[in-house]
Amino acid sequence: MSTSASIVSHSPVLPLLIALLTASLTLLSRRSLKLTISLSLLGTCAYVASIISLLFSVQSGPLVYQFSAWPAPYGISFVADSFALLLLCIAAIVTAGVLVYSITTVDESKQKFSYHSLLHFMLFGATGALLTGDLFNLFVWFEVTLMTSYVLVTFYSTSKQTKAGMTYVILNLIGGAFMLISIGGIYATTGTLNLADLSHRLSQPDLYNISMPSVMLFSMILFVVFALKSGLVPLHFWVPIVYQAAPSPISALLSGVVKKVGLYAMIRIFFTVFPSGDSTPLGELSILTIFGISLFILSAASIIFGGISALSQDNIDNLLAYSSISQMGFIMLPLSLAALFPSIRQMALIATIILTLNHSLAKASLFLASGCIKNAIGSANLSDLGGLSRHSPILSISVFVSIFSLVGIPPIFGFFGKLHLLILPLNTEPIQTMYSSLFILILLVGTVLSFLYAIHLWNTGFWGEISSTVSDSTIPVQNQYILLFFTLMLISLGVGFESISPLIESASRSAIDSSGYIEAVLYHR
Amino acid sequence: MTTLITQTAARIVAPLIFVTAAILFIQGHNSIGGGFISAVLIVSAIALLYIAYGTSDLTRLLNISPSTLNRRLLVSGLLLIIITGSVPILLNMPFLTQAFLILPPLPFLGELKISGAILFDLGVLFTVTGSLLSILSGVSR
Repeated sequence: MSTSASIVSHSPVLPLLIALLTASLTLLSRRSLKLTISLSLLGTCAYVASIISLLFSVQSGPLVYQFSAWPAPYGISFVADSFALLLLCIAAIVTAGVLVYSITTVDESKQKFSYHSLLHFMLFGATGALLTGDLFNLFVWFEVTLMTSYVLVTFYSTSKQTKAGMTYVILNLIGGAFMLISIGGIYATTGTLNLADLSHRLSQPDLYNISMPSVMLFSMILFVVFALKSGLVPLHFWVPIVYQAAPSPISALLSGVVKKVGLYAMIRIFFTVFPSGDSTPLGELSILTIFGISLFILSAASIIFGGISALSQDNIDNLLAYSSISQMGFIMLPLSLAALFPSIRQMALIATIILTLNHSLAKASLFLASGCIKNAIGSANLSDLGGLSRHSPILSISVFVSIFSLVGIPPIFGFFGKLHLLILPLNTEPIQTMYSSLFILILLVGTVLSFLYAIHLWNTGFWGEISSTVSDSTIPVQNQYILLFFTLMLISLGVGFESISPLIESASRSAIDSSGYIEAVLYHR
Repeated sequence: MTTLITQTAARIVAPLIFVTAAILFIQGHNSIGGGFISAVLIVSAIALLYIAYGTSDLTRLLNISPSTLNRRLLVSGLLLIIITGSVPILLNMPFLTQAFLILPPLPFLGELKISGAILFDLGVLFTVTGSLLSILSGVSR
C-alpha cells in the first residue's frame, strides 16, 4: 500500500515492542541466571520509562497509530490516551515491584525456566489490551494476558495449583467464548470492529441500518463477561480459589494487572463507545440504563458479600481475595451512577480511577507481604501468627498502611477515592433520593465492613503475643524493601494528591470523551 | 505402534503433509493458508513420524536434544517476528508495514507474489512449531 511521506511517531507501539523483545530475549538467555535477571530488569526500566514519557505526551490529546499503514476503520488502530496510559503506568509499576520481589524469592531453577519471560509476556498482553482501538484485537490481547496467567497460576504445579488452574482456565475459556460470540454479533449488526467507527455508527443507527435491540443484547453479554473477569458477585467464586493457590507475586499481578484489564475494557466500551448511541433509547431503556442498574446491583452485592466473607477468613490470602471482591465493588459502584446520570460522569470516573490505582498498589503490597510470611513461617493462617509487628516492623508497617488505604483512612491515597465516592450522590441532577440514599448506605456498610476485616487482620496477625511459629522464623529484610516501596508510594500519592490530580482528571476526561476518540481515530490523517 | 505397516504408511504420508504445508505457507499471505496452519501440519507430520519410528531414532538423526531444538525454534521465530515487523520503523513507516514483489511466471507455480509478510509468517511458523513440539514432548513423557 502507499505510504505517506509524513513522519510517523512510533511512540505508541514502543512499550509493546519493548515488552515483546524482553520476553523473547529472557527466553534465550537460559544459561546464565544473572544475564536473564539483568535483561529482565533492563526491559522493565525501559518499559516504565516509555510508558511515563508517553503518559506525558498524550496529555494534549490521544495519539493514534495505524499498524501496517492501513487507514483507520480497516486497519488496526492503537489509541494511546491518558486514561489507558494512567492504568498502564500503574500496571508497569506493580509488575516492576513484583519482578524485584521475585528475584530474591522465586527458586533459581524456576526463574531460569521461563518466569521472567512469562511476566513480560503478561505485560505485553496488558499493553496491547489497553492500547488497542479494535474490538476483536481487544479479545486477542485478553487471551494473550490470560494465557500467560494460566501458566503463572499453576507455576509450581502442586495439586492445589493444578486444581485452581483448571477452574481458572475453564471459566476463562467459557468467558472468552461468550466474548467472541458477542463481538461477532456486534460485527454482524454494525458492520465494524473499530471502536471509534463503532461509536460513530451507533450515533446514527438508522443511517447504517443497525438494529439497536441486538446491539443491546450483545453489549449485555459483554458486560457479563467483564463482570466474570473482574470477579463481581455472583461470578466471583473463582477469585478466592485462584488467589489462594497461585504464588503470591502472581496473585499480586492478577489483582493489580489482569483484573484491571477487564475493568479498563468495561469502561472503554460502555463509556467511550456506547454513549454516542444512547440518544436513541429503546422505549424507556437504553444500553447505559440497563448497564447502570445491573452494575449497581452486582457491585453493591460484591461490596457487602466480599466484606462479610472476608471477616470470617483465617487464611490471609483468602481474606485478601474476598477483600478484592469487595474492593472491585467499590471500584464499579461509581460507574453505575455514571451510567445512569450523565451529569456526574466525569466525577464518577475520577473516583473509579483513584480507587483502581489505590487497589492495585495496596493489593500488590499485601499479597507480597503474605508471600514473605508464607516463605518464612510456612503458613498464612492467622491462627498461627501473632505479634508480627514486633517481629518484623517493616513488613507490618507496609501491611498497616496498605490495608488502611483500602479502608480509606487519611492521609493515605485510598482516602481520596472514598472522598470522591461520598460527594458523588450529592451531585446528581435532579437529586435522585432513592439512588443517593442507597448508594450512601452501601458505602457506609461496605466501609465499616472493610474497617472490621482490616482490624481483624491486624489484631490477630500483627498485634499481641509473638507466637512460637513466628519467633522461630526470620523474614529476610531484602524481601521487605519492595513492600516499603509500595507503602511509600501510597503515602506520597495521598500526601501529594494535588500533584497527581491533573493526571487523574485528564484520564477521566478522555475515558468519557467519545467525540474526541472518534475524531482522533477516524479523522486523524 | 512401530509396526512395518505404520512405518511404510508414515514414509508415504509424511512427505505429502510436508509438501501441503509448504504450499499453504507460500500462498498464505494473500490466500488460504499461512504460517500458523502450515506449522500445525508440520507438527502433525512429525508426530506421525514419532509414532511410527519412536522419538529416539529421530533425535539421533537430528543430533540435538528435542527440548533445545524446540526452544531455539520458538525464540528464533519470535525474534524473526520482531525484526521483520520493526524494519519498516527504520524506514519511517508504521510497524508491520509490508512490501511486495511480483515474480515473473514460473513453471508449475505460475505467477507468484512474494511479500514482506512471508518472513513474518516464517517467524510465526517457527514459533508455533517450536511451541507445539514442546507441548508434544511434554505430554509424551
